[in-house]
Amino acid sequence: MIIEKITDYKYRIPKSNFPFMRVDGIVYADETLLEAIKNDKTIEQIANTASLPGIVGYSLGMPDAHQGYGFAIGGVAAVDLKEGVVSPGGIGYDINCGVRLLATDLEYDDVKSKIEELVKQLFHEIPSGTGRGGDLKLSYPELDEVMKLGIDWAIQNKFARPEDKEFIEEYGRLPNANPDMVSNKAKERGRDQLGTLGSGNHFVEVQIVQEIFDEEVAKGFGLHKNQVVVLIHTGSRGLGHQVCTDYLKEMDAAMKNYGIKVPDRELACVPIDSKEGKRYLQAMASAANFAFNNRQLITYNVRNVFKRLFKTDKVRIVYDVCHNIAKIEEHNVYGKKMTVLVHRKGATRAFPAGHPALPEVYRPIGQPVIIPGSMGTYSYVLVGTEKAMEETFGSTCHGAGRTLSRHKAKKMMSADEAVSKLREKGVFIQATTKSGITEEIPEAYKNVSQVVEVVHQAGISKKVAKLKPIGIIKG
Amino acid sequence: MTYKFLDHTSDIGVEVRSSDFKGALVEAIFGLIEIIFGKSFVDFDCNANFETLEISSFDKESLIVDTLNEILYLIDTRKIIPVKPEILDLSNNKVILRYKPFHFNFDDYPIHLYVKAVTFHQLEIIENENETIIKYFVDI
Repeated sequence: MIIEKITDYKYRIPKSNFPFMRVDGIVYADETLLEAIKNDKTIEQIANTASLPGIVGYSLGMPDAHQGYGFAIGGVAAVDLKEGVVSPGGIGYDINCGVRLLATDLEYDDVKSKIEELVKQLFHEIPSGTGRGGDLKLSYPELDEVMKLGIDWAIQNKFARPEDKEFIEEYGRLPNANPDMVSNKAKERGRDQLGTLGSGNHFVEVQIVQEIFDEEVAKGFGLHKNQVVVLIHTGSRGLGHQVCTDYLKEMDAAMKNYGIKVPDRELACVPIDSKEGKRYLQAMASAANFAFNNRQLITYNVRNVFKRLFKTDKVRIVYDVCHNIAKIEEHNVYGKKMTVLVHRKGATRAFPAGHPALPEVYRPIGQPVIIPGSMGTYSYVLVGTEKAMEETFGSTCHGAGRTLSRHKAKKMMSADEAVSKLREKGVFIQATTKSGITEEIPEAYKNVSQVVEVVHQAGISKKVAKLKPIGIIKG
Repeated sequence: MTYKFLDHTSDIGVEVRSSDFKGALVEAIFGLIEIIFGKSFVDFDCNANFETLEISSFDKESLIVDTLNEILYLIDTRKIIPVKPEILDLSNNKVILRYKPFHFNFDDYPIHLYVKAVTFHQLEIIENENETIIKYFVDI
């Protein structure tokens, strides 16, 4: 396949590579990351995504891109709202998987003697959901309210503070949610999973702000050096997974009715305006609202632990971002303003200063972009830029991105070795299973600092702060 | 055991071999259960009456994905491991599956890997005269 270098951080996959490509592909990477990306089917998947009816601009790959299902993980595709399609594979099975950063009023010295106890209590209070379910077992009408109201449900039920809403993407509620479009199977899978972490790469980490790159923006986000923060990474659990499964099946069958052919079955899609498309977007919004509440219940438990251990209730949300979602947004495409549906699968919204979607407090600064690292490595806070609006539909990377299979990772290191290595770095970990540790060792991932450097150098988001973990809770 | 696990950057795959499609589908079920619980249930039995499950799809690929997603649903929501699975009928992309429902608890049977979904990604069915091979990948 022909891949052309545009700059040191940007490569083009010309549409001439395959007859089905409607637009070029663009990959943000440096030379070494590009080599890693070329090791699996990522490039092919970015090219396949360029076949979607109605796609505009480019099929985009972020520097953390790796092979996914249909779409690459770390992929962005915008489609014309009138002519385009919606593809559940462009959002992923974990709808509104995302990250939330909480900032405390504590500094490292305030917590260092209690880190082990803090990790133990957080592990106890936050169920993984892969064994013990959540503390809440919702009735079906209650679950419908969770999905319909988004974060307003948590505010009404005292799991959230009214001000929390301001600091969540879309203010914690996608407006077109309709729980009637979510199957009973999906509801049954999600009913006892609210407030649970899940397994895989999901985690809660206690971190300290180790380095500030942009003092002014960091100050605007309320971050300073040595501050204790908490990062939550999880999504919509079994409910979201089942929504994706249900609609992939439905769209796979319906595609022929619309004369749509795609090079990969996991790219199944239908026109946005079709009855199946509308139903999926309502179900997706419902699952997204469930995910906002999932991270909120974990926030509630984190706050309780900090209050009990450190007598502080100053644990505020810096920001909560989705990295598996589709959103209707306005962008400049081919020199004119266009309403598009932006699929972000393993990609984070990165809106610049002045964007009306941002809360008032961040509007002069830009959107906080939270990038989780792999287990035990750094995470980053970035800020959205105008260049992201110009080039990537206001999107950037979402994390480190795997390079090794779980099987290979397990062969590299035992759980005990991994725990010892973390302890040497001053990091305490508590996990439900040993495999949850070995499969997520940092060696199985790309270097998150390198990923972040690419988006920083490419200008599609800018570095603000680097966060170092001191405690990890894993499912 | 006539299934083996396949490497994938972010997830995991299963390759099964059997003399026919029915047998391969049963092996595919065993493979999925082993991914989730980290151990084989091929020789596992329990005292329970058989239950049946009927799954209809529109082609063989969908039938595999749909059947395995049904197994996932049983495990995730009803906390049932379907043991001694057997295909009673397979025709016109419809399968009637019989199994003994083993109600597990998480203390004795902890989840080793939480599977989000069984996918069409790199799904392959190879049917030869004397052997059927199925390859599938799950999202974890």
